[in-house]
Amino acid sequence: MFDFIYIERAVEKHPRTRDILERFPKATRVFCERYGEVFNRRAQDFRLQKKRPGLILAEKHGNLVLETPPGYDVGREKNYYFSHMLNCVYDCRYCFLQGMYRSAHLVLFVNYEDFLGEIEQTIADAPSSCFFSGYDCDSLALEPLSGFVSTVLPFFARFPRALFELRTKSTQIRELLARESLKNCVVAFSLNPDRVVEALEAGTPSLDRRIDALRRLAERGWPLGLRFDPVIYHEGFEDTYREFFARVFDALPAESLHSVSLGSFRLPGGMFKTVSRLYPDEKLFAFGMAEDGGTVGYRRELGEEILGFCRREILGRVSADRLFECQDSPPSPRKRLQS
Amino acid sequence: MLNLVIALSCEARPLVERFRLEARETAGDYRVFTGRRSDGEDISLIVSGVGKAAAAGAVGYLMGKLGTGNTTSGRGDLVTPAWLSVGMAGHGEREVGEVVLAHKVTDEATAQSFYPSPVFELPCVTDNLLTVDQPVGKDRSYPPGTACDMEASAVFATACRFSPLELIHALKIVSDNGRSRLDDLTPKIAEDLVAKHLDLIESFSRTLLVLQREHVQKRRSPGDFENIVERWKFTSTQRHQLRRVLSRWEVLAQGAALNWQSLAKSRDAREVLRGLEVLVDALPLTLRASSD
Repeated sequence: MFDFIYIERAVEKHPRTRDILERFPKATRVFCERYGEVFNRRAQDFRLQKKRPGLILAEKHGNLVLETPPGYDVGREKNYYFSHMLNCVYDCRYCFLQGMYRSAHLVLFVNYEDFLGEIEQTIADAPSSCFFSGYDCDSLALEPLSGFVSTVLPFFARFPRALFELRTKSTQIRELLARESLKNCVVAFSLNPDRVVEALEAGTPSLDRRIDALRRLAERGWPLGLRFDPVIYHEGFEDTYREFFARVFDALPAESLHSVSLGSFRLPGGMFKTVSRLYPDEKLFAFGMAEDGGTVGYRRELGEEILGFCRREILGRVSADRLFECQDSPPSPRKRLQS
Repeated sequence: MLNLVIALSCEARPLVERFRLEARETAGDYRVFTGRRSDGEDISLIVSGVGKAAAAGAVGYLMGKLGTGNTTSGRGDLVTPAWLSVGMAGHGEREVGEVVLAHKVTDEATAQSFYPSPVFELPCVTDNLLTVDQPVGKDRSYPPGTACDMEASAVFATACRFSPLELIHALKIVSDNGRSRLDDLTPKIAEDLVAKHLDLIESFSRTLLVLQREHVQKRRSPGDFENIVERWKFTSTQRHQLRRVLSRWEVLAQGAALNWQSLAKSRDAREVLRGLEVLVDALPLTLRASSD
């Protein structure tokens, strides 16, 4: 899976580092002082690097838990995210990560306990907060390697008032199925119709496989999140999304649904510029975009058309109090990197 | 475009022959050879001389001489070549004649490191490469697990101002290792060591050229651009907008020709741009499922 693993000297002897290195005995180990020497330096071509990204094992210092952008929530007043990983094994064309970092390498911060320490401090101040993982990565895609879930779930079991969301497209759910479900842990799947998955979500599990994973999690009692974000405008989207919503909602018991969120394709202006330069032949970036308040998204009439349609379809199946519309946009790369 | 940076003439000779390069010029200490492969790709080779200053200067010289392409933007944009530093290196553990690709290049004097991304099937083993100011193996021992040369970090430090790190690499052939002394290395031996690996170097050069094409292809100018800017006067900003709207047409129209002559009555560039936006905004976005 990884030909090269870059290791910060400081975490060389960390037990998690050792475990991971044991799994990749053939990978070449390259040592660095700080992951920033390898990751996100200038003069890197994200698209070329995405062909064969390396894994970087590092330690995250400071600002481990951050407030989410306004509008990124599922009903709680205080919302935070944390990123034990940067970048994703998948290659979704609409993803802001392509515009966020110059580097396609995957960074895994092995000091989970420091993240949990900062989360605990945040909970002490605001016990009902919601914490999102999977903002700068896919929460589950590297689970067999990272062991993230098995560390973090026992932690959140201690804080039943807090809410925790794992956001994913991955079907790596073995660890979740093996455990008792937690009422305060939402397993949220990003979903799109097959047509969109095939065109824009390279390397991800098919819709069928994601629905199957959701169904199995529901059987084990895990609260589910359905994330229809971003929905993609295209010719005939009404038929595509009508059939898609029917397929998703018909497959899942209504009582298992914690929340549904909906948003259309959008990126901060700077990121849109970066990704459309990276992929100049991508139809998604060539079609019907306009900038509004620093965010590039569908022209108003197109955005309202597709969101209105999807909203009606969803509200025919779930109550309004469980639908959350997202029009947030990730913070600018500079702000993110400063944090 | 691929630029080879080689310290010594004896190391360069087999490569000049294999790539059928012709001497182009001698400027001070630098000797430049150029050629075009049968697939139309340009290859240049510069004999830089020994050391970091010489290597950094060689990269800058090549870019100054060869780097400005005839781009359609009319701005003389720099092209983005691939770079390969080839030459001898000392290594405490590897056998003389072994070839290594650098996965980390460190300037010993500044401790600055570069991590070239190998986004291809590896042509050979990889190793750390330390660029030193004074040769190792004479008065000092070889650092463990590391090849040592005298140019690569300077090639990286300079070339990464023009090209991404995925297009910059160092391929080194072990010339001395403690059991075989640096003093024993003659020009003939160095030439033979390079000659021994010509197939590998040529094959790796092809790999880099494929990546380089992929990188620069992203920046090509769309068709019709030149015809339109010849007909109306566009400001620099409007040229940028024109390039963007024409690119959108190419992507969305799926091969259909743009009938820009329908805009012939436009009075100025602004009207042309507005007309083109209307044409492009009318195009649908189609997503094809594999079953279609």
